Amino acid sequence: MFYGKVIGNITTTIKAKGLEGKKIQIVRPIDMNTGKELDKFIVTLDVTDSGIGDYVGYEDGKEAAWAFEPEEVPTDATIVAIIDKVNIDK
Amino acid sequence: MVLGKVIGSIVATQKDESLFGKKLMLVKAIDLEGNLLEPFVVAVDVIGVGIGEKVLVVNGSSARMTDETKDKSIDSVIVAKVDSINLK
Repeated sequence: MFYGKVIGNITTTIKAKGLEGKKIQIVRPIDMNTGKELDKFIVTLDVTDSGIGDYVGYEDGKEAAWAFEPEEVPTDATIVAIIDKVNIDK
Repeated sequence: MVLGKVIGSIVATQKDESLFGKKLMLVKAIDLEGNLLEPFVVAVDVIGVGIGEKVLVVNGSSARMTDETKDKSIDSVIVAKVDSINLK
């Protein structure tokens, strides 16, 4: 799982059948060592109720599709958790 | 998923059987402002998009999760046409 921040969302009308009714978010990954947002973004589906500004955990690769099992959803990135708190023992 | 823009199409006559009837599009990654970035992919189009349109591309084994690409030799597929991008 990777850590990022939701910075926006995308709306679509014409899409593959498996994506119907799915929320599409734009996530900026965060560097775990520095806590800083990286200068890139990834488009993800969302199984949580996250909104813009939320810190989230997302899966990428085939695992992202498993979040919707048994439904077959074509996605290679899915938000699977909203992060409440990060504890790092320094 | 990768945000991209369709910049062209590819025609191939001799190909694997599993690719028969599939539309191959050339998609270049874009940033949130719509500027073209360097990476590009050849993706199968299962929804019917045209050149110049903004799309979402799924890569890897997840690309075989649509009805049209299941069990085919495909690792990149256009799954949605972008209507709007809303940023904070």
